[in-house]
Amino acid sequence: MDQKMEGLLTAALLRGDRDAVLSLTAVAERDQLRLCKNSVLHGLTEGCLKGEVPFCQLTAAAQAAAALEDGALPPVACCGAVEGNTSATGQHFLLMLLRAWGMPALDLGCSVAPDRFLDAVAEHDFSFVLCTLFSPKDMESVRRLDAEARRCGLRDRFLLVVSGAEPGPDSPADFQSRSAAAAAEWVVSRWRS
Amino acid sequence: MEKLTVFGPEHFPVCPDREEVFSWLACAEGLACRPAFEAAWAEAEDALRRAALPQAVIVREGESMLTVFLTLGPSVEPAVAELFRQERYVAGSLLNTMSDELLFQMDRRSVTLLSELCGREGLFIASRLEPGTETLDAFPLSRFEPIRSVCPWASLSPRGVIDPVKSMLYGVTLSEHACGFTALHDCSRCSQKGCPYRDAKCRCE
Repeated sequence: MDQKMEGLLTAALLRGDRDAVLSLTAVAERDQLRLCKNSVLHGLTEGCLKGEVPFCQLTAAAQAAAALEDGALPPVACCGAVEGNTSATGQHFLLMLLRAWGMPALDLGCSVAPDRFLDAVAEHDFSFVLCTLFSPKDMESVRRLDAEARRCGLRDRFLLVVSGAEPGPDSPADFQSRSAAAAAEWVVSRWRS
Repeated sequence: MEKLTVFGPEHFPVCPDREEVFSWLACAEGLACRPAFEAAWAEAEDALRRAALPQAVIVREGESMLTVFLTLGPSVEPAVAELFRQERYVAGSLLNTMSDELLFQMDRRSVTLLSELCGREGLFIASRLEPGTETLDAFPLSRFEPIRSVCPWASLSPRGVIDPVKSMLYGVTLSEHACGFTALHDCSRCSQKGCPYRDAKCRCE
């Protein structure tokens, strides 16, 4: 895909202009389109992490990019608000960003008990478990998830990612950040490597 | 004042502040995505009006303590979740932010209503207790039970997480004296029991 087309597609994505995105992509080959979408969103996400691109702009781009999805892909991760966290906001944003990156995740919902996360890992062989927190107190649920996973012998099978709180000295997470964008970017970079 | 006082939706019009919502989203004029959010505003506001059931429940405990529960009802969060499930992220983000902004409008309005309510008995609001910062003892779970008689779908977890999420809980202490704060007022010698500023040094120092 040439630079002009990539620029037009980027502008349309940022506007959240679904119709323009679809009409532009009608002239692009499918694989090239996927590469372009990923490179555009990679740039947007990096900019977002540096504070250069507002989160609202990424939201609009994610919505437009979701319209380009080729079809239902099997999830490669599971995501849920930990047990005790009934707020789905952080989880919504995390799933949205993963979706925009072309990385589908299984939505486990809110207040998810540790054994539900582990059942999903065992059944689907997920490499990533993403947990969202509402308050620092929710770390207790993350520690129980980690302990239960070690007891079942599943802990080595996945990377544990926590979003919604800064890491503490005893966090069992492989990555943790208050920012959903940072967590999503870390997961996607590992997924692609 | 009754032990239980309820202020219904008629006291809390569902009218999100457009510029405030866009400010919270950091969606400034001139941003490439601004037109997308403006185009989704009407749909999100309509969804909020259909889903929101704003009300305040005030529980009196003894002579000098009130617990205040503000909520938009149980249907707003599912409406947000449905928009995200449909990958309509712009509308979902708008609805989520609108509902938060509306909740803070209710917070400000509740202070006015409380002041009027207390004023009828010659009482004044002395201090505000926030569950996140005050000791857990200030908000035992049993204090939530009267609220459930009005809002049976509401709950408070042992960790202090309210369900539905679009809700707020705080306490106020009452006093027979209005706050006497001036530049020369010595808070440490004030008669306002429960006011956190009583631990402060004299303001005139």
